Amino acid sequence: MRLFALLLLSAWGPLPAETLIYAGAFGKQIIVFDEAQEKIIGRVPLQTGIPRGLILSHDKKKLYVTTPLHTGIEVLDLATRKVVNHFTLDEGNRRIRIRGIAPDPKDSVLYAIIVVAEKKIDRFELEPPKFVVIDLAQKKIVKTVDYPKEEASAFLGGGLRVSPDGKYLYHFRDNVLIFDTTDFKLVEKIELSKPQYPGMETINLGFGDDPHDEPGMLTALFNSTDPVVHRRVFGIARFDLTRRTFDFTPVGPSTTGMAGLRLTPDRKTGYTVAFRDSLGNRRCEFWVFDMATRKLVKMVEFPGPINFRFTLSGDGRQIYIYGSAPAVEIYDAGTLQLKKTIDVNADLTTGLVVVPG
Amino acid sequence: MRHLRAVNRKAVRVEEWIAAEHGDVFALQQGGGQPTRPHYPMGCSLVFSPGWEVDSAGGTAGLCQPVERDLYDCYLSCFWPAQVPDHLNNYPDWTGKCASATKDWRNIDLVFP
Repeated sequence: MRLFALLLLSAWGPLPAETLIYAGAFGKQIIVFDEAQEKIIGRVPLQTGIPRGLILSHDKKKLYVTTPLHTGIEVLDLATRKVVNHFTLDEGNRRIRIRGIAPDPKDSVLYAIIVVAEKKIDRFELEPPKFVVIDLAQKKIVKTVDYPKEEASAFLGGGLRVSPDGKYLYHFRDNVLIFDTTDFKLVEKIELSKPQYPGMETINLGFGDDPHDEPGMLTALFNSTDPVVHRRVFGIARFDLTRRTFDFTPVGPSTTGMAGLRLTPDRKTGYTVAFRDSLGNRRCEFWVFDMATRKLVKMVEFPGPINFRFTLSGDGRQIYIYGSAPAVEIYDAGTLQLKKTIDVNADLTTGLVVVPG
Repeated sequence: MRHLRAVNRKAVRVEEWIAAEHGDVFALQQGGGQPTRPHYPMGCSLVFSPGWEVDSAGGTAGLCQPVERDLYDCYLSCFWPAQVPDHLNNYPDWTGKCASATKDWRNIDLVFP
């Protein structure tokens, strides 16, 4: 058996040192999963409630956990697997709802967009959205600035990212808004609805944190509609957070829905899950992209559950399907066939965060 | 208008033609687009009654699976919190003894709104 393992290692090359995967779950806990052993090696109890968001720090040594009950923030030290800092932001009848959050490159503060709901005697009053700076050492909000009224909307959402130099805060929504992190003035607005390239009308960027994406870059799938026959096509876009530029390549006709793009460690191959039709007629497929040519090279149908998420393992050789049952399904990224199902004994409440060793 | 009845053959044919226009059985070459879906508001149910629920197409394929997952997904992924406590305002600890709804649903706290 040991010989077989050695042969396997030599065939695939050395595995990265202890890639660990983290996920929030019911039971107020963070589950720690060892990718090589394919088993759970720890459960970290949280202090402030059920986790709904996990963000990896820039130094990849900590996890920021958000809990919605009283808008809790917890800092999990990955080396000791202990919560080293935790606090809540709610004050009395003022309940804070976080619409987007991102750490600064020094991992000292968190930038967030919040909406405050104040509970009155007969109603809730919602305040306009605001930028806040959350100081992790002081355990409180140290700065509040109103979100620009002309850009605000009732359902303000989208992802936040901070530029590698810490100077700019990117808000990815229907357009990309870039703010100065010192005063939160709008520095630049990239209107994705305006034609950037001939034949392109609308671009929608959707993305998540990919541990294998190039630092300072975002690689994502997008949908676009041509201005003549209004046919929707999807493509691959790359956004440079430092230079504030992006490029994209159309790939093919758009489908009912697509999960985010995940890259292998060498960034040569990309994976996503695509959906065709809906409800009882829905079919799920793995789509594999050659990132050099940005072409779709493989499609394989699989029995996807109703609600699930998808991500790629730290070594890029496995696909994880999770979020529907208290289990993680492991597919082989080469054959795209189900390899194993891991029972995690808890319903997951966040995405998986892969921390390559 | 149910008190009006067709009394001659032509009126019966008109009545049948109108029924066919809005019915769920029609010739494929007839055109007229896809039959409309049932008018269920946003899918799932308006009351918490397992076994009653349907998805937005009137079927069950779009419901949470396994069915016990529905206990958590009303709040978690569907944000349809009317049927269950929401962890925010009502009974925040109702799932404290149940990490997996599929396995441990018997441990979920009883709540009495």
